[in-house]
Amino acid sequence: MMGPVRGLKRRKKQEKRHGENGSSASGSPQKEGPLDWLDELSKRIINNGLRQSPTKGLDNFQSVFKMSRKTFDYICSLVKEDMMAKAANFIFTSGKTMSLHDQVVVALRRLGSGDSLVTVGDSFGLSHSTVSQVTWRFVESMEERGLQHLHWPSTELEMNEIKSKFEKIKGLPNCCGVVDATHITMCLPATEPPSKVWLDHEKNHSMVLQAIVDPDMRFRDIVTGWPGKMKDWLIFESSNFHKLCDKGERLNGKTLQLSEGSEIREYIIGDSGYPLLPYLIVPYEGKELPEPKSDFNDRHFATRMVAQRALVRLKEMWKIIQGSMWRPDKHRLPRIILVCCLLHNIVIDMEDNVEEQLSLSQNHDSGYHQFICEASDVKGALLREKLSLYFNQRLPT
Amino acid sequence: MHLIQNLEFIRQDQTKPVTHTPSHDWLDRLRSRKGFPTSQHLDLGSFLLTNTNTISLHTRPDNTNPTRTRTHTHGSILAQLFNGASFIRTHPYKKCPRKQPHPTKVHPTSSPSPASSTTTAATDPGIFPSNITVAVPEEEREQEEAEAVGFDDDDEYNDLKGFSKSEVTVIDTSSSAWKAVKFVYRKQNIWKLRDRKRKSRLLAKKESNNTHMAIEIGFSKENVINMGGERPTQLV
Repeated sequence: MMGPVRGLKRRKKQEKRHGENGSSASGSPQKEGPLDWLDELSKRIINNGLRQSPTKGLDNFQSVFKMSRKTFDYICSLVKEDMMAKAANFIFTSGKTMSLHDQVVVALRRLGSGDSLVTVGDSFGLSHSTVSQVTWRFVESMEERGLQHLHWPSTELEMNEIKSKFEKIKGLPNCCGVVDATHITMCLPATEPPSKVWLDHEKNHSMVLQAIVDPDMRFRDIVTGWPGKMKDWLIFESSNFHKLCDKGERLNGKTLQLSEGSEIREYIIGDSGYPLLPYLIVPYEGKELPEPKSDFNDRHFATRMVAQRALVRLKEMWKIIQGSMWRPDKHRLPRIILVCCLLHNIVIDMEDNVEEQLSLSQNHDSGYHQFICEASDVKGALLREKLSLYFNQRLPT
Repeated sequence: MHLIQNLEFIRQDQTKPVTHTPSHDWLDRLRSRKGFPTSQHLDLGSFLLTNTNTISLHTRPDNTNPTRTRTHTHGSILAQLFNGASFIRTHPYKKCPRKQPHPTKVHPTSSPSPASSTTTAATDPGIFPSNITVAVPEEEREQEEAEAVGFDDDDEYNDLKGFSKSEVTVIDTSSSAWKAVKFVYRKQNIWKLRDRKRKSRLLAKKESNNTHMAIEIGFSKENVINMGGERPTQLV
């Protein structure tokens, strides 16, 4: 049996007073439709001279929340049932009940800005525990309702489109994805023994996110939760994607005939941190490579940039995973990372044009050195040779 | 440059009340206690050249990252919007929140003495005492790494002698159950990854009942919210 909720009387009193004095800017559940506070927000942004780039076509909502109103409304519709189903209402410190839109805005702000619970709470007039609970409820809902936005291509049509777009980048035929990994750093106390497993080679506490990315920078497969010190190849080999490929249940689509007697299967590409496998092609190692190999490496590198940009964009847009999380729950952090990936995909699926406002640097994992995996499979080497030869035959004489 | 600005700020801040008091004695005492010159004509340039270490303990670096500044400005707009004018804190003596709004990252640094196994952490003196001593992680050997993955080893527990064990939650979207608890066993650079074994039926049932009870009364073993979080907060 639970006792009375602390501060309930005070809240009721505040609510009564608030009802007498008028309403705050945020929408109440009764009038959540028109989102009046959004208009107010736009005005304030313009009045404060913060409109960043009117010529770029980004509206005020996008400049703050990094997504269009259409996408925001879609996300609200995804989580509506879960966010509003539970009995406990969330309230502002003023005593006002939070509407669905208020809750989603607070959660997006927490995930997008990376500000602490206290800072976000102060911004919205909420206690830090309310910010925490609202954000966590949003994460729990999104990981169930939004998972449809992160999946391996299920139809041949979808996969053909991906292959075609990859080929347009630098000519790689039958390529189905790019695998890459990044470290999600966090602030942990160095003195506590449980933190030690999270200490990586660069003396940061971190967790790895491995992602397989399509040419539109959409995440098609992710693995996250392993400690940052684990090498890329170890994480890849422990992934279910690897197991499915080994069993012939993934990357088992149509082969492509490059020339007479030369067929290639479906494959993904990755950097030298991964092993050369029959379905995972890495660049040639070594300096001063002969031209066909260096040409192959150039094409390989240019195609891989899709994954680089996707991970940079992920961290730029969802700053909660950019490295400032203070003592996060290690069992919850992977779920937060997943939801950030889902939001990343949703923004792409909804065709929001937010990239131009982001200062996309090229490095999503600055400060981390590349470890080279020298493992090489014969079939993988053969596939790479076929690709190299294919480009060599097409080179102008 | 930041130090000069900060010092100027401190000086202005301190000299404000002087206009209202006939005597400067208390100000001089305050300055001398904090290590500042006490004369009327402060030579800040030479003072900084000789006392940079002392001052750095009392000043915080100025974050001039434009993106961060923009984010914070958005934050203030949100504050005005959601809190309304009546809720914006204008009182100069705001009670400091228990949690730090901008916590500082703490890294163990390598020990200056190769023989020593401990070192002094590089910490923000405003948050941690400067003489805090932390254990340094074991130096990694430069030996060839022998990493291993195993999942179905029958006598795995014999293999895992001497390994440290950690429980991790791993999300793998290619798995039907995309979220799973796994065990990481680690010794030096050797890693072994294991799925969590099913518990005995009795234990599982007991735990299940407890969990259901917890959910019914509104909190579970996850009743401690630590979202990004600072110190855990009890939600009851």
